[in-house]
Amino acid sequence: MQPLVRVIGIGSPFAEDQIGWLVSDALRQSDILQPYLGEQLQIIQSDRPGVTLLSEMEGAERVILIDAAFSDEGESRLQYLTVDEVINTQSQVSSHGFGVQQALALGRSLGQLPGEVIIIAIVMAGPMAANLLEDSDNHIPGDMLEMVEQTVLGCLTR
Amino acid sequence: MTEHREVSIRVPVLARVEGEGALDIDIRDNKISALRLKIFEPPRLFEKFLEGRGYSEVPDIVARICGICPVAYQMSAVHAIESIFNCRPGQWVRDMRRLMYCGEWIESHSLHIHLLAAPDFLGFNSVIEMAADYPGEVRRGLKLQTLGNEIIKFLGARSVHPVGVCVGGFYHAPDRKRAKALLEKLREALPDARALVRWTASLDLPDDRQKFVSVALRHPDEYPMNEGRLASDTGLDLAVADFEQRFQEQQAPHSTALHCHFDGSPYLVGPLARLNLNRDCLPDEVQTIMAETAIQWPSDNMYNSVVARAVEIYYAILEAVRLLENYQPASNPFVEVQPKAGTGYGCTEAPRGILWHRYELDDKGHVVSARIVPPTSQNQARIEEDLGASLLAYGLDNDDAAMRLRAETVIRNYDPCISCATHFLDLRVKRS
Repeated sequence: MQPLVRVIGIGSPFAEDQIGWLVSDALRQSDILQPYLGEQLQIIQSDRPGVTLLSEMEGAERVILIDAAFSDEGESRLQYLTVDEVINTQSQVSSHGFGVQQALALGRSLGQLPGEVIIIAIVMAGPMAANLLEDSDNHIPGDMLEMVEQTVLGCLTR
Repeated sequence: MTEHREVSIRVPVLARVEGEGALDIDIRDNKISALRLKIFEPPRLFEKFLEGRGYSEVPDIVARICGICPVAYQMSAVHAIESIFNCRPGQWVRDMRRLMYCGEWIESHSLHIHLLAAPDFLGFNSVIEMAADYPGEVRRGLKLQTLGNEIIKFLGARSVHPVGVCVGGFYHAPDRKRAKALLEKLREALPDARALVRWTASLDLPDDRQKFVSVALRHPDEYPMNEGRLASDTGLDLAVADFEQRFQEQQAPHSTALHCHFDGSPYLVGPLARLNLNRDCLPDEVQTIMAETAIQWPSDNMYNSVVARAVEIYYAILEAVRLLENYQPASNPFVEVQPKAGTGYGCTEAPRGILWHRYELDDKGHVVSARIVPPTSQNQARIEEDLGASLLAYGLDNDDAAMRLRAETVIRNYDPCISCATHFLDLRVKRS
């Protein structure tokens, strides 16, 4: 039986922090991923999950977390991170002081993380952030979305 | 009917600043000469946001005041507004609102006990460290928190800022199949809840008894959640509408927060106060397990709050089971209301204590003014009083780092929204 892959778009209703939700919405519409939706692939959205991220990951063998990241430097881009990289990162924004970083660290401590966790940080800088504020229907660069799509497909077909 | 408006409010992403608190202490001749605690208070901004809004928007707006206790804000709001409209939603709505509150108590208390309080008492800096030595206990706590969130989702569609609550009832009645599935999970959780009470009671809690006044709702027939009169262990028996006669807020000069006093003095709200005043309303199973602990109830030791929360989790699960056992979905989950002008009051028991709302509406049901007094601000004066006594007892000759940790532990007993960060306290000590 193929392992269950779950994509979790993490975000909130606030401005650029919606990007995880918007990407997961776009993935649900993807022609490439449509055949897998259901038993092999689940795509969900999570609103500032905090520690409940652990229960949202439960039951899936491979999890892809998609979340916003912000930068004053460089271009907008995707950044692929491992659990260790996220746990050891110095700065993050979270609600009530318990965010993705802490949830992953707790999951690691409890031995409760899925077999594979991929974190995709959508780093928004300059024009992308402004575009998102202006027009939420045309917000994600096509090449970025394609890369995320391929990552999900890779998890499904390995 | 609320007129249609298009409103666009963009809020940039920020770290939640209620994670900050500041404490200034002046020590002179080994005595505390001044102590000032500052806590950020989001509800104050919401009182202005609400002006001009339609009554039907209020539950969804106030739910956003707090991510951990949105249900409490919604409940106090709808009760206040329904009192203006002379609306009686009926027994099904009453029961389901109580069920939803059970969910919030379970998730909020579980989060507090395991992520915030227990690491203090077991000598860990965080639950992440604690999980390595207490994995079973942490997993149990996370399971209970998830269960609480599932109850909220059952009626509110989601646990973060749920959307099911409306003035008059609920937008939707869940079906029996979902109720049955939830009931089964609740029954399965009872052994965990009992074990949690015993575990919290076994923690090595400081023995720090102080004199304070407990204030909570009191109801003739039930452990209070949504309804009751205001009561204290000094004999208070007051209608919710008369709150302002005995409870006064004033601006503390050192803080953005308003301090609330009861007849001019600090007071305690929250699980310990509720339990102190309402233990007789608890079912036998809960009273029996409380009697097994070595704690003398009513308790004057704030450190027993962690046990009080565990007791309330057990009670809330039992109550949720009771409410779901014969569940039937209502064909009309809400009653229609006719807006009219007036002033209404609502006071319900948030996980952290009584949450009091007052609304003045115009004849179209738009908010003219709103006043929200959250439990965290009601406890601020008591927290300052406690800090003074606790730090004195702890020893003012301890270094600042040790004093900060002690102060954070004292504050965490009250489970204010600021206690989410492990080190939230900016402590400034001036010694002379």
